[in-house]
Amino acid sequence: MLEEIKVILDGNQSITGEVKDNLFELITIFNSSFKDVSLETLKERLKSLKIKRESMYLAKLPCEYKPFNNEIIINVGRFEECDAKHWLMHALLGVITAKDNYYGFNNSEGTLVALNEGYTEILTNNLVGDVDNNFFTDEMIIVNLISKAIGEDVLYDAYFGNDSERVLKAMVEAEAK
Amino acid sequence: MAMELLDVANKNFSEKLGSEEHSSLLPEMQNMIMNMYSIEKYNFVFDERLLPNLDGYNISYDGAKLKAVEQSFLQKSSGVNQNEMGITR
Repeated sequence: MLEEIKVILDGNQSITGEVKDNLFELITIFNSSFKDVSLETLKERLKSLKIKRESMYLAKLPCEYKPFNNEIIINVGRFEECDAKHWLMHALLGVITAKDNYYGFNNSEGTLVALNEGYTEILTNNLVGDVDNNFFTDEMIIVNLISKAIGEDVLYDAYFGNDSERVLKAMVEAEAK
Repeated sequence: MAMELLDVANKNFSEKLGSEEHSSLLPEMQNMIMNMYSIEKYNFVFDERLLPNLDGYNISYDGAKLKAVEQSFLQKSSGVNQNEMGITR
């Protein structure tokens, strides 16, 4: 599987060799920890994935994945000041779990956008370590609190299965108990 | 209540994106969750994936586990595997 991904990545003329190496390293790290997660979406999106520089007025975060355009948007000024590996892993998780214009257990309306970012960051920390003054602190804490009520398995399955309804339903059912 | 919580979470996130001067709504969200799910304040298992920056949020934790978490979060993203540091769940 990883060899196949390497070939696909090498075939993407929009990404520089150095960035390809970085992405492949992160994909390898992800796959070694989450062997049961499908990489089919990743394989498809890597074919046309673009890395795009954006102005500080349009890109609020150092690095962010936009599923609709299949682009990783970089705020160059902020990206150079931050832990690039950490932020790139966060964006990569978006590519791995992308669907239409969202990723993870979010939906097209953005109902779970904050929780989804919190969970993505929890996974990122788990894979490549944490950073100082983490931007997603609030979101991670809320996700962890909610996971105590609805179960971590629900979040895991919903995240990699793009199933926002499962999270919403679990939150309502847990509340009713 | 679930949708209200999500609205507050999304609003908090959106405002944070828009301004560095944003005042966190985390305490409000924490209280909402505790009320929604009848969670006792001092009955949380501390998840090592969280930042240990929880002062003032009334969450109890195991002392030894927290120390391990603090160590892990002092590491930069250099590929250090938490399992290599002997951190267990």
